[in-house]
Order: sequence, then structure tokens, then C-alpha cells
Amino acid sequence: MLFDRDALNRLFRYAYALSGNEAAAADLLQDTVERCLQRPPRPLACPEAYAHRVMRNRYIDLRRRREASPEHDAGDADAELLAIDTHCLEELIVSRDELQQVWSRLDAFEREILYYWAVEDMTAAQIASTLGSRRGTVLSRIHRLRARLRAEFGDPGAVEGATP
Amino acid sequence: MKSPLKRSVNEHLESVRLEPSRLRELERVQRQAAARRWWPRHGWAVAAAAVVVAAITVVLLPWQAAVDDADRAVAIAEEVAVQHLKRRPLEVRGATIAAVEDYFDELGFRLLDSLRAAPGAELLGGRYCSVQGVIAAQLRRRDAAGRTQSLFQAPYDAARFGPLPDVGNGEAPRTLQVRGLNVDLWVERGLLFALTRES
Repeated sequence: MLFDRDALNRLFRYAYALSGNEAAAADLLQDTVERCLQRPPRPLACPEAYAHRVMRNRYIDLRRRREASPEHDAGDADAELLAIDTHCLEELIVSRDELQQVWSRLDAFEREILYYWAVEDMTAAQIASTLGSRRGTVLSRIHRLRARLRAEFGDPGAVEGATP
Repeated sequence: MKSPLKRSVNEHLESVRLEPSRLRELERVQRQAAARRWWPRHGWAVAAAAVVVAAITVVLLPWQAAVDDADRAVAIAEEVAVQHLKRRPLEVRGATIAAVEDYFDELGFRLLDSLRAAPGAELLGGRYCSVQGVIAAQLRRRDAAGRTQSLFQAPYDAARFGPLPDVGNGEAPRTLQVRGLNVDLWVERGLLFALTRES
């Protein structure tokens, strides 16, 4: 079997990060697994990485039918952005309930960034490389994501951690 | 409870699990795909293996049979050559088959005068022996040049002795060189004949 139960659940979480809700994530996962099974019968070095790529491409295809790509507005690698990285997300303090509230309102690209940063422990450069984006694009979205999370929960002090 | 964002993201994602029914469905889909793929993937290997086995069988079996037959003839020749060279004492003496055949009443077959001409050969006598586990008679004689020969006779069993030329069908004996001797092997009227000759 290509994916065991643990792998299927990991892929489901990535699908959830992309789609933002469990029903859509389950459909996306089903679609991805079927596409992986239809590929030419060659051994895969890393079936999960392959499934990630298939899933993401499939998700973008589906999104493009409805709207623009989630990372369409990227590209502003200015001097301020160069000074930040995923470490600026480390400073944020958010409860799980708060995150759950805001999760579906984040766009797919933001959720993907959070997934790769939190689950896969990637830096901005690694995320950019994995997603085929520019590092500046990822940094820009991290910057906006931080601002958005701070704004979501009103008091910046409540969201941003006790940075000395 | 407030936590660092990374931990909250992990906990949130960890809490998301695929429903068991969807999990089972995905496992079923994968099993079906694996079953569908097995034959296209391995069918060629199975077919190729079958062809190789068939080819080996076709090529090797006759070859192996020929090797076995040759081995059996060599084994007979070896055995009679050794018995000839040991020169064990004769158990019965006589100059003709008729003179010695009564002694060989335990053989279960009648000794024969071979149709193969042996001009000048003189029978000396004989003794019981065996060839490849089959009871046999060893007749000792002297050829025209005074050299000793042993003529073995045993009931011919094709399965045991392998195919040998039948002089009744006009075939020439098979001759092997063993231990410095020529050994002629042939079948005649249902008996195996083995003649050791000193060159």
C-alpha cells in the first residue's frame, strides 16, 4: 500500500492546511490518493512528498477555477522583509481555540506557511523552495500573517509574546 | 490557554483526523489499485520466468538424458574392467558354452554364444558375478593372440543400463577405453554383453 493510516492522516492535515476545512480536505485527499495511484508504476523515493506536490497542484487547479492563485499577490521583497523570517512567528502567543477561530479565515497560502513552519519545522527559504515561490513572497506573507494575527486578537500584547 | 503559535498550530493540526470511514475507503482504493497493478507489473516477469524454465527444460532434459546414458555406459565399462583385471579364480571350466551352462543355472537366463564372430577365441571357463547390481556371468576366454578376454552376460534392462546398440538390428557395439582396456558393450537377444579386450 502506498500510504498507511499514519501517512494518510499526515496528508489529511496538509490538505486541511490548504483547504481550511475538514470536508474539503477529505475530498482533496481522496482526489490526491487516486491521482498518485494512477501515476506510471515507478517506485517513488518519497511517496508523501510526491503526494504533497500532487495535492498542492490539484488544490491550485481547483482554486484557479474560482479565483486567482493564493500567492498571486506576491513579490515585494523590500528591505523590511529581508529583516524578518519565520522567527517573528515564534514570538506570537495564541491559544488553540483562538487559532481554530481564525484558521478558516486565513487564506490557503498562509495556512500552508503555518503548516510547513510548525509541522515540518521549515525556514522561510525552505518553505519558498518547497512551494516553488520566491523567498520574498513567503517573507511578505509571514509579515502580513503576523500583523493579521495580532489584529485578530485585538490587544497586540495579548497575541505577541512577552518579548523582553 | 495561551501557547506559542507553533505549539498551537501543531495541536490544532494534530486534532484534525480523517474519519475512520474515509480512512477505510482510501485503504480499499489503494488495495484495489495494487491488485490491478500486480499483473501488468509482474505478469511479464512471470511470463519470462515461465519461458526460461520451459527453455531450460527443453534444452537440458535431452542433454541431461544423454549425459545420464553416457554415465551409465561408463559405469558398466568401469565395473567389468575392474572385474577383468582382478582375475578372480574361475568357478567352472569348459571350452564351450554347453560345457559350462549347467553350472550357471542360478542366472535366470540362458548363456548365449554371441553372434559376433571371435575367430580363434578359446573359452576357458566362467564364474558368477554382477553388473550394476544385476546377476551376471563372467566368461573368460583367450583370443587368437593369446590375450585374455572377459565376456559378461546379464539380462538387459534398458532402464538400468541405458540404451545400447543391439547387434541383432545391425548396430555396431559401443566401445569405450577404460583402465587400459577396450570394453565393447552391446545388446543381443535380450542380454547385455560386455567384452573386455586387452589391446
